[in-house]
Amino acid sequence: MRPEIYTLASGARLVYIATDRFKSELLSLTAALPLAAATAQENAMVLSLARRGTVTYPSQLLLNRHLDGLYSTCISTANRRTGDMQALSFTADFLGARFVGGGLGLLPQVAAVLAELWQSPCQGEAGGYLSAYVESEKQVLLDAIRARINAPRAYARTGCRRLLCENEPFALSLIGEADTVEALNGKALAARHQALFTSAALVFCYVGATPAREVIALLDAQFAVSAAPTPHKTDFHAHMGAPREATEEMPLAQGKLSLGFRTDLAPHDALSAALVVMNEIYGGSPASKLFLNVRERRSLCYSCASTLDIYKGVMFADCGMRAENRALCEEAMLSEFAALARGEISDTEFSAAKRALANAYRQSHDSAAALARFHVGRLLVDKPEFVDDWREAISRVTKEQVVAAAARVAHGATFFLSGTLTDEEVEE
Amino acid sequence: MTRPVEVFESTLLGEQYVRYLHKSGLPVFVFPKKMTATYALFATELGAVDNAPPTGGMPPLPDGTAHFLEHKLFTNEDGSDAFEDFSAIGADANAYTSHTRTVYLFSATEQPLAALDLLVRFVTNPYFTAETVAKEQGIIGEEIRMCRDNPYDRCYYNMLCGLYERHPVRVDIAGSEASIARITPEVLYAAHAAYYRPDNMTLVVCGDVTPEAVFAVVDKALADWVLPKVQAPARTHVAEAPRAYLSRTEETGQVAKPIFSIGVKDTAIPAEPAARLVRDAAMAILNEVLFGASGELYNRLFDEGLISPEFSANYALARDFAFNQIAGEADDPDAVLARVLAYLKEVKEKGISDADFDRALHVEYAEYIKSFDSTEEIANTLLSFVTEGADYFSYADVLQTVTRPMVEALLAEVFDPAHITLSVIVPRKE
Repeated sequence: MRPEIYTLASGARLVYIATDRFKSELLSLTAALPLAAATAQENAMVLSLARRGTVTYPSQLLLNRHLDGLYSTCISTANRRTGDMQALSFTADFLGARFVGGGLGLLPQVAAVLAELWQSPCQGEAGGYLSAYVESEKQVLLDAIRARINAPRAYARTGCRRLLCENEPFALSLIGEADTVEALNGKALAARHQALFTSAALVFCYVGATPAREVIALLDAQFAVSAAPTPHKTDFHAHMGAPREATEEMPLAQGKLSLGFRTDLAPHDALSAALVVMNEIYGGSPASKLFLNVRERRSLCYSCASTLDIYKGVMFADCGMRAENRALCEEAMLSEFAALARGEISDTEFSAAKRALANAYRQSHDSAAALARFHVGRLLVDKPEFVDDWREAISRVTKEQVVAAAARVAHGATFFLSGTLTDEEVEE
Repeated sequence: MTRPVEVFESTLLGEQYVRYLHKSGLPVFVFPKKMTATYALFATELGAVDNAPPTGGMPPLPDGTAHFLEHKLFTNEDGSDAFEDFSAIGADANAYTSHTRTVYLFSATEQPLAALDLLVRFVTNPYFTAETVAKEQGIIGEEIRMCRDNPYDRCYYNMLCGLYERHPVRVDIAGSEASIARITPEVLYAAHAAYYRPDNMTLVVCGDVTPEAVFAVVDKALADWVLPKVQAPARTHVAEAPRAYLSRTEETGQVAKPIFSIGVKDTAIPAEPAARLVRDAAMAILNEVLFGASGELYNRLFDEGLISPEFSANYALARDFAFNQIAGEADDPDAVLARVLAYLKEVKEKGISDADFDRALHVEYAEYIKSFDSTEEIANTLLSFVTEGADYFSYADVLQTVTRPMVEALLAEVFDPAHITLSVIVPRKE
């Protein structure tokens, strides 16, 4: 199941993973380009408008019914951050050939739908998008921007990211801000769609049993538009100076605290595997310092965990607690990190972290989506790497390397979302 | 030693699983699957709805006991945490509590049999002290507050409170800060003794393991486990009228736009496992026809700007309660409900077209086959089937028995406006 990387006639690349392990197959298309305030929102709209209809299937109803006719083929879209890039993707999950009559199965039809979604969205008047769809998607976008308050933990995390990476692309929203939605229009969006063909790097991923030459022939036939080289320019730097701080209030039962850390270690750095182990020890699992010491031993909170984004060199430690316990939690979370950085890592913690990571990366072989996510991500940052090689690199990490990685990580931001509901209001 | 087993096979899928009855009365299911991760579930039929007194002299269990017990079982007698034991061998452990069940689980890519040994041992060996219970009250209190801040959770529970007048499904799975304050080590020990018994539990393992190896681990780890002589506590059956208790509930919450859950109460629940399975399959097809992304209703409402893209319909059928939840986000949820009711009336009058029925059937069939790509999904779905007394592989055949008239009859029976409640979370006024 070692992936092969091909370059297609268009210049796009293909991550090809041959396997008959799954009953379904996966074909995805990811378009990556620099994340920028001027284009992020329009890119998000282009992605959403594609799902509203294509030239052949000009409405969502017709498109969805066509997909249902392909044995409930599911095409999902995603708008993600990969370092300082915006990665727009379509992923098709469909039944394997042996369940639908053999041969190439559904792959030709699925590739054709993906090509339509990417290249031939439903057009309206004068070459722009259909205005009814544009206006409808503008409202959906506006709702999504306003709905950030619906998920307070994510809201706190977003606040922390913005503080930590102030004035950097990574701080930008992938769907933009409310004040620019009104000005969006069909013509400008159609121009943005066209611009994607020259500015976005394209990476396909196929996971299934069809031979590579057949997959390549299908993609070459369907995707004629050329692709740009990978825009893998992400800025990595350590935080200097005192941590930035911000507090907001919301009528909540519980405060949400998010601590942001950053490092200059990039995925290509020799210590990047050690950085991943460091995060695991700190707050990556139920055997971590945050879980066992802050939650279980001190009983300060229910959720307390950290996550690392190696594509930007940022780590967030999040916690929910009564407002009066904020200082205690923050102090406890920072103390745990300080202990880790001093090398206070027990053999149990160290080996549990490495085993948990090995388990997680091995498990990616059981999910076509996980395999695709890992390998496409690596290709986007120009570090083509097989997941098992990465797992091996993690297994070779030493405690000294973890401490060395931690020395390159600094606390850079604290965001606190203070819950203002009284106990009486919570009881109601 | 060869143990007597029952084998279930599917030629369509090229899969099989086996059932073994441990001498204690515990049913053990093994689904061999050449995947990297082995996934195991050890489940007891103790959920949030089970509040009957665990022994004669005790009061009913405080709300949230099943969930509290789930948390506390992870504490070992020496003060360490069972999570640490799993981590030491590279396994990932977790647990969850639902309305009717508590499930302990792990996934492991190495040493799955060692992890299985840990799983069955820690779940069957409780250890509680006043000090650790008090500590957990703090942690779960924070979990309750976290859920209190989740508007989607609030909307769901308010929907249940709108549907049911007395049935304990209306109670929050985690309980309240007041109810968990009444939990003591004695309550937990009594609940464990009453419900964590072989005839009330099920073990399911799916992965790259042989049935014999799994059975050998279970036989050794549970060598002294026997069925208690006393009867298990009687289930609390609370009869509910078919009508929804309330037609509408509303609460303010941290939302930008109102969110809603339309609840549809189903009280005509068959007792026979086969009939329950058919009802479940027919309802899945009906929900796809009525509320699916390829259906007319969804596309009309979305095109007219009445709902946001996220719109879902799910049917839950468990023991003595069943309901449909249709959830979404809308500026005017009451207008959405009115349109849903009008559409239901329209479909009842016109009937379901063959094309819509066939499309929904195809979707269900494809989803069923795709579910066999994940050991986690297989183990969870297998658990649901076997605790219902049904064969997992029979679902493909059951789907073939569902007919359009059957689904239309279900539509007429269940989607009566009197059975429906609307739960809305509205934004706070600035």
